[in-house]
Formats: sequence, C-alpha cells, structure tokens
Amino acid sequence: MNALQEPDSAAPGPPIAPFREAVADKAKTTNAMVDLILADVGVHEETATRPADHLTIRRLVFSGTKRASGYEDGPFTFEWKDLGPGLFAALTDGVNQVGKSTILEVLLWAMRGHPRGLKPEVRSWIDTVEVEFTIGADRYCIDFTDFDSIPRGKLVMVAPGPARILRSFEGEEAFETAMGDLMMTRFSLQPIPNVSHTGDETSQYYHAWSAYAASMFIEGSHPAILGDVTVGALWWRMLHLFVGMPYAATHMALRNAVTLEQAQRDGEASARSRQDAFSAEIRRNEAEKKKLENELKALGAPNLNLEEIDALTMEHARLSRDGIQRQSEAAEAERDAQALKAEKDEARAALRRLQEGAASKRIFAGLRPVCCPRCAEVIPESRAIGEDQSGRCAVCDRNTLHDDQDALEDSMAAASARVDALSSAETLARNTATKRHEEAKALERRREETATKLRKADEQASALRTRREIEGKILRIAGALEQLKTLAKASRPATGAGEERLRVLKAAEVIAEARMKSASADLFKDLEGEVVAVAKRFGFRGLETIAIRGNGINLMVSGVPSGYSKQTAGQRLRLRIALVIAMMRMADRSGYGNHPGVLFIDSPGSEELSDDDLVAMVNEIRQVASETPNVQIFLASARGDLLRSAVLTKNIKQPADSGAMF
Amino acid sequence: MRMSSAYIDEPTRQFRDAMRLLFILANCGEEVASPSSIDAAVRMISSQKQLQKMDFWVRNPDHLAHALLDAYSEVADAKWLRYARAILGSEEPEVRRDAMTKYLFGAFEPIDTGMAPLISYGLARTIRHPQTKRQRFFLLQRGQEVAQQMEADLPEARWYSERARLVGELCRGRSGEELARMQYQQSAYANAPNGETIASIAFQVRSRLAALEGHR
Repeated sequence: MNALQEPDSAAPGPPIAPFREAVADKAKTTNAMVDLILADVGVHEETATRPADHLTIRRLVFSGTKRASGYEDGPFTFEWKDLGPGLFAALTDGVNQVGKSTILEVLLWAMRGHPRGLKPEVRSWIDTVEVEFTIGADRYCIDFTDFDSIPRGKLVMVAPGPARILRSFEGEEAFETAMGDLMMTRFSLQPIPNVSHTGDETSQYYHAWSAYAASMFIEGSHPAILGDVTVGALWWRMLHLFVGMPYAATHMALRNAVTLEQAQRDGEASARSRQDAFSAEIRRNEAEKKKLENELKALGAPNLNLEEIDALTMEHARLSRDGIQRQSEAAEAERDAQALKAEKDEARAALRRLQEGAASKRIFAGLRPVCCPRCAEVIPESRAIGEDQSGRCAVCDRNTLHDDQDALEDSMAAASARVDALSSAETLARNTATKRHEEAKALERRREETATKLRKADEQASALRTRREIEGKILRIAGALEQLKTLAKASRPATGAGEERLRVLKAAEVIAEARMKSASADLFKDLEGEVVAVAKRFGFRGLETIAIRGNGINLMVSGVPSGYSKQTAGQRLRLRIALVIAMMRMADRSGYGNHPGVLFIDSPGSEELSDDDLVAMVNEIRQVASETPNVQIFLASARGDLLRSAVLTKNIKQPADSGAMF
Repeated sequence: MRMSSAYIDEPTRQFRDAMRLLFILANCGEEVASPSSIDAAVRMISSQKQLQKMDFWVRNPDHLAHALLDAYSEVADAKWLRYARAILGSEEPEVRRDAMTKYLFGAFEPIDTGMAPLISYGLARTIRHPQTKRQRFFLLQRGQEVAQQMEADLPEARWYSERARLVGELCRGRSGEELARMQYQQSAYANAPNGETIASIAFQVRSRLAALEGHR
C-alpha cells in the first residue's frame, strides 16, 4: 500500500521560517498579534502533510419492492460483491431504464449521504441499502433504510479492531453529516469557504463533502473540469486540496478572510452617512417596538384553559342533547295529554248521554202510553191497568220489572270512573309535559350560559393569537434593532486595530500564496504532464500541453492554443476523467494526495464519442485503472455489445433474466 | 246493526233521543195555526229532512258554530257571532257532540225510534202531507206541556231547550233543502264518506273565529 511508503526524506532547499514569524515580520507586528488574528480566522501553521489513502467500495446490497417498473414488479435484492480497485461496469445491450444508472446513483448516495440523480420513484422502491468500503487499511460499512424518503441507519467501522458504530443517523442531513465527517477527516479535506455578496451583505458559506463527492460522479461532459459547481472557481480550490498542495488550505482560508475583512472595511467609507440612516432606522424601530409593547399591555393577560374549553364543549354538547331529549319528551307527554283529553271528552259525553237518558226516562216513564207508535192504535185502558199490576209494558208487553236500574247505575258509575281515570291520566301527562318543558328550559338556559362561556373562551383564544402575533413582531423588531446597533457600531470609522488586522491578514495571505506557489509549481507541472498523458491515451489526439490555472485551463492542441470550454463534449469528458486519474497516479507515485480515487462514469457513450473512440477509451480506462492500484471506477453503459470486451468479465454486472438489473 | 249496538251500550238512548226531538219540535217547529186540521197540534216541522238538519246542529255544536259564523258573515248581526263565540269558548264541541252518520245526501239517522216514545205517549204525531206525501212532524199540546215540565224539572233538559231555541232561530224561514245546502258548505260534512261519522270541525271553526276576531 502506498500509504505505508516512506515519503522522500530529502527535502529540497533550505528550511523556511515558521509561518507566523514570517507574517509578523512582513506585517511589522508581534508574533502574539499574528497568533491572535490567525486563530481568529481559523488558520494554523501546517505541521504535516498526510500520506494518501483511497476509498474502495467492496460490496453493495440494496433491496426493496418494485412497483409499476415494467419489469417483474415485487420484492428485489441487488448485490454486487467482490468489488475492489479497477474498472467495474454495469452493462446492458442497448436497453435503458433497467437500473444500471441506479446502481451508480445508489453507490454515490451511500457515499455522500444524499442522492444526486436518483429518480424519486426508483428511490421509493428501495427499502434498505448497505455498502461496505475501505479507506486505506480501515473497513467500514454504511447501512440504512429509506422508508418515506427518511434515511435511518448507521455508519460502522468494521475493522481493524472490534466493529463499532461511528454514527447513527436519521434524516438526510444527519446522514450527510455522518458521511461528511468521516470522509473530510479521512481525506484531509476542508470545507471550502466562499464569500457571497448579495446587495450590501457580505457573508461566508462553505462547500463541504457533498461538493467533493459530486466530483466523483461523471455523467457526460460538464462546463467544470472537476465536480459540478462552476461558480467561485470551486474546481480550482478542490483541485488544490485533492492534490494535497502545501499551504493550499491556509491560503484559501486567508484569502477568504482578507476578502471578508476588505468587504467590511469598504463599507466603512460610507459609514458616516450610514450612521445617520442607522440612527433614524433604530429610532423608527424603537418607536414601533414601544407601540407594540403598549398594545400588548392593553390586551391584558389571556386566561386560556384548553381543558376548560374541552370541558365546556362537551358540556355544551351534552346540554344540547339533553335539552332536545327533554323537549321531545315534553312534546310526547303533550301528545299523550291531548289524546287522553279527547278520550276523556268522549267519556264525559258518554256519561252525559247516560245521565240525560236516565233523567228523561224518569219523566217519560211517568207518562201513560196512549197509542201504538207503530200503527197509532189507541192503547186500551185495560193494558194500562195491566202494566200497573204485572209490570208488563202496555205497548209491547215486555216485562218492565226486569229493567235493571242497578245496571244503569253501574254503567253510569263506570262511565264516571272512566272520566275520573282519564282526567287523572290527562293531568298526569300534562304535569309531565310541564315538568319536561321546564327541564328543557332550564337545560336551554344552562346551554346558553355554556355557549356564552365558550364564546368568551374563543375570544380569549383569539386574544392569545393576537398576543402571539404582537410578541412575534416585537421579537423581530428587537432582532432588527440588535442587528442595526451592531451594524451601526461596525460601520463606525475604521480604527487602528482594524487596520492592523487587515495588514496582518494580507501579509499572511501573500506569504501563504508564495509558499503554496513555490510548492505547487512542481506539483502542477507533474499533474499537467499526467493529465496530458492520460487524456491522450483516452483518445484526445493532438493534445500537447495543458496549463491548469485558477483563471482557466489552457490547452495546446496540435500546435494551436485553446481552452477547456472550447473543447468538444467528448474531449471534455476525456479531460474530466483524465484529471482524476492523473491525480490518483500522482498520489500513487508521491504518496500524497487527498482524492478518494473513486469515479462513477454514467453512460459515457451518450453523445460524446463514436463507437470506436468509446471502446478505445474504456479499454484505456481499464488499462490505466489496472496500472493505478488506488483507483476504482464504476461505469454504466447501455453499449454492452461494444464494451463487454473492454471490461474484465468478472467485473461486469448484467441484467438478470427478467431484463432488469434488479 | 249500528243502531242496536248503540242501544245496547246506552240502554236509555231512546229516551234521550226522544227528549231532544221533543225540544226540537217545541222550539224549532213553526206554530200551527189554530184551529188546525190536526187535533191539538201546536208546532210542526214540515219535512223529515228539515228535522234531520236541525237535529244535526243540536248534536254537533261545532257545525252549528260554523253555521252561525256563516250567518254572521251573511248579515253581520253581532248576535250570531256572540252565539258562536259562546259555543266555541266552551267545551260543547267536545262534550256535547253526538256524532251523526252521513247517508247519501247528508246527516241522517232513522228517527223513528226517537220519535216512538213521543208518539206513544201522545206528545207528537207524524202525518204525511196529503199532496206532497212528505212526512210532517207535529208537536201536540200534551208534548208542549211535558217539554215545559222537563225544562222545569230536569237540569239535563234545559240545555236542549236552549239549544233547540237557537237552532230554531237560525233555521227560521229556511227549508230543508236550504239547511242541507248550508251544511254542505262545510267540507268535513260534504266530504264525509257514506255511512261514516261526520267529523268534528271544532279546531277549524275555532281557528276561523280567531281569524275573524283578529281581523276585526
């Protein structure tokens, strides 16, 4: 392993002074002041470079359930094992949409913590991912589940030593942090600071592992030679850190600090007029804050008890329900009373009829019949006498002695009793109705009271919302005030201390740059030579020289000066791959360098290259990879027919019988 | 059959009916000019139809009140309204109602059983008109005396006397056909199916009175 190689012991030239002393000397200040200022911007003396390690993916497994894929839906497990340095390829014969790119995307996803170009519907199929990989002599395993697009899992250091969980994570951000912390530390990469200028605002942000990792994925040509960010010459800074350039990190941090300091001091020119503006703004905000505070006071403390609201709501529902119940009971009793009254009236009529009949009978019975009602024949006197003696009716001869006076009285008593009973029943029903009515009214009164309380509680809730809003506004204004005061203070005319700070930073930057440049001249010369050699092998015919500088990449092609951006897509692709391979070859040779050494190349044949050129390039890639033990390249292509011969058979992954990769 | 069962339920019904008819004859009948062709006749109702209609109003205070309100709306004599209000303000429509069956062209109940005691005791007579063949109902002198005696002796009789007087006042000068027409104006009466009891209209008439008084 290269990591175990001894670096060259013969250091070229005489040793140079410690950085801080050089800076103090140049800035005409004390070592202590330099220490203070450099510590403030996070710059430390470089005490060591680091032997190159490289990343090698050893095994990939992912599983899940395919839905509506067009190929045998259902559970699947994909495994690609026995991986190591060299060229590996996922090949299909002219078929797309079978998962070859997905394999690469899943690998990158696992390595950097968030996916790059993984299609959401394909991601939704994947339930678990497990990747084993090595960095130098250390073996790691990352495994996670991804239900509902929330990765949950752990990063484990498997060997050497007992396996131990380095990090458990849940969520994309935690996942990214876990992978970033490991990779940035292991490859001595630093967050690349950048200064962003938006309007008057000048702020600093960082590119981290995600950006570095993106440079491992090559999908066609790209305007940037390294990675996928074109702004801020990120590729240039990454390149420095990847090649392990001495003082690269120091210089980068100092340049950034100077830019930031300068930007702040530029603002000081107009500081006086801004002071007035700040004061006015501060006064305005303070007045607004006062006004809001008064509003808040006027609102008074809301007295909101959610339990009480719940209880009131339930009470209100219960009272409404009970009230309706009572009302319907009252109505029912009312109906009963009505029916009973009708029945009672009928009973009273029946009793009346009996009484009228009995009364009239008393009069009529005392009369003597004079004729037959049928034929009007006069009743003979003898019949009348006979009736008096025998009790037999003078008209019809019926025995009137059998008339049952008791029966008549009984039926009158019964009718009377029926009237009384019905009357009592009616009274009872009426009382019930009245009682139920009163209960319903009482319930309605209580319901109304509860409703009033609820309305009040609701008003309290709305007062609370208003209060929260005002409080939020006050907080925002307080924040704004704080910021305004800070800005007002910051924009005061420059002080001597600020001058010294800028002077020290600038001096430090110059020294760091000089030291970096002196070291980088040789390094870049080597790198450029490697890039030309590798690119030519990949089929970049006529490439003579390449000069990689922060302000651009200059090429000499067949005696004609050119630039990276002027190249065809195919040439740019060759250069992109060549740059990474060149870095790895240098690291392999010198033992220094920070690129992980893994490349993912997706569909290189798309539109950039002819068939012959493609085959030639892949052949060379395999060749170069085999010559460079710290490089691992994953290739995905639908041109299996062409490329199968260019890749070792054992390193090829092909679709299963179903036609899909998984 | 209906009749017989009514008589079983109410063993003295024929006396009650007789008393009512006696007062109808006495207080609704027209005076018989004396000397009359009928011995001792003092009052007369000249057709069974007329008697039936009068009987219906005595037996159904709600329908009577309705007819009184009709009369009031015809001639705007406040007495009719007063009578109607008195009836409707009391429990008469409920307690004094002796429902009647509708038969073919109006309220009709065989009246013979109720008349029989009056005839037998020599209080009334029924005689067909020699030309028209209509049955005419005569109250005899003796009947008038008994009616007076009943009114004096029986509290139960007084109401009938009063009511018959009122119905007589309403019916004065109207033929049986006219009375039938008046009664037919009431839909509960007109629409009652044959053989069914003519329904109470107490609620409607009370509403009518309320509306009438509300509009005054």
